[in-house]
Amino acid sequence: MTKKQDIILIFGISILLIILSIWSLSVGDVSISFSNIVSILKGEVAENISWSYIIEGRFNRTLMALLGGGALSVTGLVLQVFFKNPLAGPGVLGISSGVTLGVAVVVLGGFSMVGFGANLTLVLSGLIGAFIILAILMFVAKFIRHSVTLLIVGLMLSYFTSALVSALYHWADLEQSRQFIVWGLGSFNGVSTSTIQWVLPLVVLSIASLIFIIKPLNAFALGEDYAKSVGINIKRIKTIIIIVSSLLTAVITVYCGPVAFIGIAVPQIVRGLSASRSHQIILPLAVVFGALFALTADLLIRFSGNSLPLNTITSLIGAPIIVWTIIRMNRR
Amino acid sequence: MKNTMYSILLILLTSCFNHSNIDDVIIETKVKTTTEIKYAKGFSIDDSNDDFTLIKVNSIQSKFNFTDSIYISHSINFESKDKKVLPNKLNRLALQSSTYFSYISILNKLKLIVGLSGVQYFNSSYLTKKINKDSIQEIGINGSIQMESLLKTNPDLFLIFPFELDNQIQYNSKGIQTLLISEYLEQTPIARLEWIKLFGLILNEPQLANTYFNSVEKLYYSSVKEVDSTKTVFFNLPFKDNWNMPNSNSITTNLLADAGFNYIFSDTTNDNSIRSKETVWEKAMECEYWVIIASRPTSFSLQDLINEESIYAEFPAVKNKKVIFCNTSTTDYFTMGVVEPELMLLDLINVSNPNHNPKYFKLLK
Repeated sequence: MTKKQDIILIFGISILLIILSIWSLSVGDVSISFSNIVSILKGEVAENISWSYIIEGRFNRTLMALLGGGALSVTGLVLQVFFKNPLAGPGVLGISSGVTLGVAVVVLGGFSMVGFGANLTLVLSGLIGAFIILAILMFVAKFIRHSVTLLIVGLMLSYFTSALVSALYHWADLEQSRQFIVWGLGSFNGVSTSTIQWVLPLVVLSIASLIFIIKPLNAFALGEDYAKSVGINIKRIKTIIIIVSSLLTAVITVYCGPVAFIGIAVPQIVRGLSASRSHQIILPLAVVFGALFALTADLLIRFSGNSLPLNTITSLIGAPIIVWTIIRMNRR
Repeated sequence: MKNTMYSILLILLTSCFNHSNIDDVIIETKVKTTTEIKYAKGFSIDDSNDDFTLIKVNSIQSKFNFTDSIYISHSINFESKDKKVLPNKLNRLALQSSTYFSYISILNKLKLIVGLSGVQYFNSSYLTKKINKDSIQEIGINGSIQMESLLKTNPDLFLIFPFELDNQIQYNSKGIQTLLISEYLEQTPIARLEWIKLFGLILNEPQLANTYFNSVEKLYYSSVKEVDSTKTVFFNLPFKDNWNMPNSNSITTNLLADAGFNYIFSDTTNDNSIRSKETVWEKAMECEYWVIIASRPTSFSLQDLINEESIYAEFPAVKNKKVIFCNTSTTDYFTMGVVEPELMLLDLINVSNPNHNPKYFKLLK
């Protein structure tokens, strides 16, 4: 596949995303005609006042799916380069578990707040959880040679944080436990417009910041020594990767729950779709394909009458891809 | 001498492992009273024999399949072998549900309670005092029973949920006598209240139970209103994407119907009780009243409700201040509400009456 073909692919997926996004506004339990949707989007008063709220909810949900899918995919991609392991991802390395622990401390520990304070507390606690896990991983990475070992360390960290979360359940009341369990199933639904208003620029800017490290990422993918030899500031690249991946994982996980497999599976699919190894192609492709993956999963959930949890769909699609990746790795 | 010592030691050791209850041989034959069941479908009483009364508990919903029974002896001639018999000396009761507490309270037998699950649902000062004094033990959290705590209470009878059926054998094998109580599966508040007659028989207070039931039944039915099709109502609050609407033939919906309200989700069965937020939002726009039974802070207001979801401000029930609220954290809805359906009915009928002093339901301000 040539560079031109790759660009056409990115463009094609983007067009498909726009069509699906518009269509998604009509998918839900309440049937609202397209002409009504258009008039609501124009700001006109709907026949039934609830419809404008329903469309607003669907719009936010679609936007959250696009942001979540793009953010988690790109996080998985940079972490795979950073840890030199195609099986790395926010879920596998335990970063999502770190965020989960942060959220659990707030929700199960009884520190939940309302309004903007609630958002800030949750994101900060999630971010702290993600940073702690990444810091431990980086520290451990200094002492181990094989990248698979690092994945096992990530898995152990996940178990450890899960144990701490289980301990927190002991003090939580029924309602808090119920809230936390449902959050853990994952969903792009229920995000308010005010949340979208600050999540959208944060996620877009975080992903955009990675454009500045595309060249260093390409060098990093060929090995740390090679990157050093061409004058790349390794410490700075590592810092950017850690901050961006922690931030993206924390923000998406706090609002959508620990979404499984998108971060690990999408970079694999993207590498299969494009022959290019340049992150100039791979990175935007991961963003649009991740968004497509997440929106498709969310639409499937809507068709199931919202009865299926997000993680059921992402796992059903993602798990076989990971198995395929492992087989492919061993063939080499 | 050595053999005698060994024998004594062996007897002492084996006695340590004897799990069976050796009851005092006290025969307290209970008063035989005829009990008529008018509304409840979940239990029946066979008192055709002078020597005993047989209580049978059965499922009234096809998706649950359970039965249980217990004999109450009235005569020393009663042949109890191979039968589940209510202990003659009933001094210690353990309860899995907070609702059982209310029946026992009406029958003035609270002192028999030694173990209790779901303590968080109680607002009883009696209970707080007893728990603080350690005379009542918490035997489980959120309905899940801690076996060691239960064994510590050493109950003569443990009253359990039907979905504890699988654990019943385990309890029985440890010498704990159990009885399934499925009063919450009844379809009307009065049918649920009628379970007090079962408690009356168990606690040897059948007359008191009958008298209480008859007086509440009379008060309740004297207040019942015809359903007014214009008084449309919907229920509850969502949990994430889902909104749980009660079955159209459930205790809550029948209580509302008896107060004259018209339930707009009248096609709700157990299979479609989970509705999406979108569906409820759309229908709520045509609804005059909104009934919420939920746990919220004491100062919970209409504005707090709107803060939970901005669309609520558009609901006619909110605009017209017709949100009927029962705060389960400040009322005894889950406990005494079961035995006071006539008060709940009066609250709902007089919800807009400023002279009425409500106990359970009031308009949210």
